[in-house]
Amino acid sequence: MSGWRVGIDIGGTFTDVVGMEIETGKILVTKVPSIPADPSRAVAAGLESLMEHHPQIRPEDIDFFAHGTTVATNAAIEGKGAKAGLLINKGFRALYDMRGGNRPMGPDLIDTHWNKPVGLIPQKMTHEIGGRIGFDGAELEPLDEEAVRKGVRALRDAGAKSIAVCYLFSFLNPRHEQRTAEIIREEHPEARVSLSSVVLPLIREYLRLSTTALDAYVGPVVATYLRAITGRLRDIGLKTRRLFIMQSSGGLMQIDIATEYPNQTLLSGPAAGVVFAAGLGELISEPNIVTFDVGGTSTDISVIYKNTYQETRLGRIHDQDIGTPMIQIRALGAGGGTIAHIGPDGLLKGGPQSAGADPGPACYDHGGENPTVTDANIVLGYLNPKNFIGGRFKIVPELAEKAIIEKIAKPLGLTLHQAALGIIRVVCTNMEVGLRLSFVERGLDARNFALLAFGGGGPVLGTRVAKDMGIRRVIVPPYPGISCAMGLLQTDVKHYYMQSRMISLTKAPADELNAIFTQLEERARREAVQEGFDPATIKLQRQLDLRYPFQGYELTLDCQNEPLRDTDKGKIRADFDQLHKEVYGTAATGEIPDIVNVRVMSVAEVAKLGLPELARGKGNPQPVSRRPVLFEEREGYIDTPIYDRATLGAGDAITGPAVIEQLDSTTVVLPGQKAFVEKYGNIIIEIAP
Amino acid sequence: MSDQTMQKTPAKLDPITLEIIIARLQELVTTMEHLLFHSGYSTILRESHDGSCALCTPEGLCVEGSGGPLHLYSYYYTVRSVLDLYPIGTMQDGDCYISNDPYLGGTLHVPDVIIVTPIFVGDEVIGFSVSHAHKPDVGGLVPGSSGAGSREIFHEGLVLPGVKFWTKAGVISEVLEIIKRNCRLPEIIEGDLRAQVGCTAVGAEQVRTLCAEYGVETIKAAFPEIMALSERRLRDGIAAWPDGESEAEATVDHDGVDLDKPLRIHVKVVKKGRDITFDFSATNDQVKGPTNLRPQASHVAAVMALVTMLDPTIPFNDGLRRPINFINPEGKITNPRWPAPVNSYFGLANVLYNVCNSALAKFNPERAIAPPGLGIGAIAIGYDENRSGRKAVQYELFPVGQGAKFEHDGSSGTVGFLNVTPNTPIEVIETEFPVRVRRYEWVEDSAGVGSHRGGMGNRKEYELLGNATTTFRLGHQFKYGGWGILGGGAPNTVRGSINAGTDREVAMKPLETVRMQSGDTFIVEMPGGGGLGNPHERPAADVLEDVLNGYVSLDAAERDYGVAIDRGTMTIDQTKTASLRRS
Repeated sequence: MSGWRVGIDIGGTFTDVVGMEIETGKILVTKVPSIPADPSRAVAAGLESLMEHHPQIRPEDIDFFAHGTTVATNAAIEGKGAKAGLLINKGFRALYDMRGGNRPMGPDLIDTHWNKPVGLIPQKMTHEIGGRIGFDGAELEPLDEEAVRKGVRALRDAGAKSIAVCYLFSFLNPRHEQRTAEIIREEHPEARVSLSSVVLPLIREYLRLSTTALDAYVGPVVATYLRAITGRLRDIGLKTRRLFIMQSSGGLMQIDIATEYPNQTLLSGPAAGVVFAAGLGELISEPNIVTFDVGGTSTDISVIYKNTYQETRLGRIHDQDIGTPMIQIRALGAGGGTIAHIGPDGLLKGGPQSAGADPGPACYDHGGENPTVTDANIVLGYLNPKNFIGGRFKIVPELAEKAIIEKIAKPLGLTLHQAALGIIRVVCTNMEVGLRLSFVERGLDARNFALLAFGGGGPVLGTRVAKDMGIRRVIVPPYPGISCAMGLLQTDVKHYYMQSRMISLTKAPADELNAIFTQLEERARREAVQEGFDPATIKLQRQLDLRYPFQGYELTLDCQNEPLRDTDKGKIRADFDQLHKEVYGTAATGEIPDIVNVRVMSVAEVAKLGLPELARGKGNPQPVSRRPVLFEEREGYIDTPIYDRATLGAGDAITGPAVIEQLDSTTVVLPGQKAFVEKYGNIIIEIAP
Repeated sequence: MSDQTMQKTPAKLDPITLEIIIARLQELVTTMEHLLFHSGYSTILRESHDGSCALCTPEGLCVEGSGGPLHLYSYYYTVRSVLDLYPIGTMQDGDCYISNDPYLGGTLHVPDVIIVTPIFVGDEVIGFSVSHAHKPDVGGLVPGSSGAGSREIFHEGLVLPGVKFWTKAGVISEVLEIIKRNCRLPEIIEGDLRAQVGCTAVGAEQVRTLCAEYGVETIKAAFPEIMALSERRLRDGIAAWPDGESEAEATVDHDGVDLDKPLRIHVKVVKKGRDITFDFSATNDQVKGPTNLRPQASHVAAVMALVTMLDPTIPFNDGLRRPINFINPEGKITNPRWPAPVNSYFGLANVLYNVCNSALAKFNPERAIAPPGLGIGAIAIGYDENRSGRKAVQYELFPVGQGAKFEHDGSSGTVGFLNVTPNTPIEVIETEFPVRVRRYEWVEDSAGVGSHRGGMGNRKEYELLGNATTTFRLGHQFKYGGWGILGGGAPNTVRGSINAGTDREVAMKPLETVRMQSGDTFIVEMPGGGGLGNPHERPAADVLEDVLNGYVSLDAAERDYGVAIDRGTMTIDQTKTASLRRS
């Protein structure tokens, strides 16, 4: 008998399953159709499918289970969250409605016809509560417990399944919120409670409030789902208590604990892809990677620098603002289904509209008449109409041509081929703008990065985008279509603990900072025990959020884990100046930074999925066929060799132009580009500058 | 891009290359703005985001800008004023220029400071990278610089006429020291200026990168084409309207000096062929108080109204100015002679914008919209001492309600012609300043009624915990406010009081500077938006929802909307409602 780890990621179309034998590192993969109506059934079906195909895996052998889900995101997007109520300070009922700081982009900024996004809890489900905490955490006015009782009863009678509580300065002093939670449990024990001091104990009330409302809204849905998953796994016979869910921040969290922090699962799915990329980067010694995960309707981009991905605390999920730490993932509305059209200025545009899965691109022959990126890929010869998803999908290339000629080529006076190349150019440019913004926000130079192309569409456009951006290397992993599921088995169990403390760096007593660090670390160790880890083995990293005294946005700096002495502050200051210069281009070296938050990051490392080495090839692989393909770099279609990825071995080299096909994706190598298969089976394509 | 042939044909760019360059330039100004807001020091910059960035041609024409077009003319006039002092041939790589001069330059008022950085590609200046940021103080009569007592531009702070501020070696310390010595918050001003210079330097560097990729001739050729595209879209839109004339006007309480003299804001719009003329001849003469609008403010109000009425997706750049003619004689409140004060331009610009909107609705009735709350405002509380013993200025912009439109109610809590909600977080305010916010809520029945109602007005109350000199600039619409259209109702007007509920209670004036003591309180009520259509046609269920949400009172539901609600069950009394609505 041998132990197994299983990762399951739910996508829009397929649920991907990856199993790994702990002793040998052997990887097994399977896919089952997703079941949007009850995703937990797809999880069970996926697990059963894995065991059916590989009977050597018995349920009791599964020692570790990790899951990436879009349940919380979908509840927010589809408006299917719980009926929630809100308790807020007396006099401040409009705070949530007001949505301070919410700012539209582009033409919406001046469009008088723009509508402000509506929140998740209406004012009629909001009750004001007397009591007030001041800026220093002192109680200015005691909590009006009678008002809490009245409010909770009214919410209960109005059918609230979930109650959010957000009081001013609760991040400094949570006692009023905690007492409110006790009263809610007495008056309405069935309700789920979201306290802002638990959800996001940070200054700036609107973002904390919006995040807490989102937590309350998706909380019951997530909790129900996670209970269903746990039940189904037990029914199948899993014994382990190491059942984990991916957090938006790129760490795993035990399913039981996740029910307490549902807001942390909103990017559970895409986060796994970024973790996969970071893990792969470490494996093949590529510390700087940008992910390029291209799906049907969207592209997810994330920058990994020195093996580390960036997190954001100013996110937006379907118009709802969220301050929970999340991996910085830029979701662009550009993918295979993105529609090309002519804008009101007479110029060629790509998106943001998408043909989605239904009717889909014109070439699917499901009634779509608009030309999409996939249609252009078919016309240009990048995709094989006879071998689309292994031939399971029928493609009509004539419909792709017709759509591009009628909607783009004729009105612009272009040939079909110019128009198809133009669609790819414009869409790639949109993607490049998103990529570049992801770099400039961190002041990083794209030329020092490798682009990891995955998702079905990433490897098709990756080489073009990299070339335009001056990125020198493209990596296509062995299974581009199931990278997120693989990422789940490369993820550590990770938590952040933080405490707000606003004070000048030099004035902060070292003893006090050390006491806060110690307290946060104790909490981290306690939760590690709950999750089945030996607290002695978890890694803790102390961090400070710092900024110059008059600034409003802080940067997180790793600092020493040994007790801090006043003499260590000079180094912290110098490190912060350096970090600030990297991000903003300047530093106020004469100013002493302020501490805003004291933080501890805890990581429990798990044995990770490694890619097995691929058998060596003969070095000079043979194409399985040839077809005409059109590249921007050359006049006219070129007779291009087509390779089957399954026949490639380590060390094989291919010079572009070439197309490499596999079940879940297609890799396009542009003329002159050199591709080779490295020892783990990744295709590395060198892009000449 | 590697296609050699395209680099050699700069004359007429193909639609794909041009689209790509536009996307890159948008990215560039967005990046500059992000850096500006995130590294700035003042709350007005980092929390209220009162700033923007742009890229201009060597002639000063704006090609691409962040945010909205509010600063379109500011960029142009400011770059021109720098060029008047420093011919382009005298500029060196690494130089930056500074201006906040509403007369020689183009700022809307003195606290707006613009940094202009020439973009060198080799030895050639191919354009300017520009940043714009409102300062919490630049000296003058009162903290915040925009005082009610201002009667000349000299009262409004230190005026910098486009002088050199920075060289390759760093800041010109003589200029910086003069600035710091003339304002109340020297460290904060220095930090904001550093952020402004930093982001223009990053912008210039990115333009050079773009030139390296596409060829400098291609980029230079793209600038006029980008502007021509916006001009063409605007002209095409104008051409599709019927020829004709339209007039509209509104009244503003007063200029803060002659309290019994209402001001007339009037526009006549003449549309002929592919051109349009805005005629301000019948508008008020310039006034003694600081409510005058320099042409960069009055003209941009008309441009913004025209673009939003036609198509807000037209990218804003200097191409928008070309189809528009102005008749705006010197000496009008929309074109005052030097040295008239201008600090409180914003409220009047908002009124003028909505007057233009009303006049333009005749040409495009489908985009008709009721005005937002008129009386957009700001306060500046200048504390003698903050918690660390220094002077501090709490500068806040107050949002209003947006007007109703055919398909939707107005949004609540926006600036009105910019859809931002410029709220400084209460927790940031109370942490940084000696003050307590006591409430922030919607004002019941503040929205103009209608089949679609306006957005909600809001009420904010403060208690000072330190002595302060406070200037209220609340938009001069205490008496005359917004209006409804097509049968819709008017919203509330602005209102405010100091020490409400005590024997020291006084009503606030639209524009005043008040000395206040620790313990004093004040309440400001900002207006909602105008309504559209007959309120009796609003679905009764929507009216009930508004009542339950606290937007509309039971009385107003019955009186204005003809919807009777049973106070016990909080359900609609169908019979009574039917009878109310029949009558």
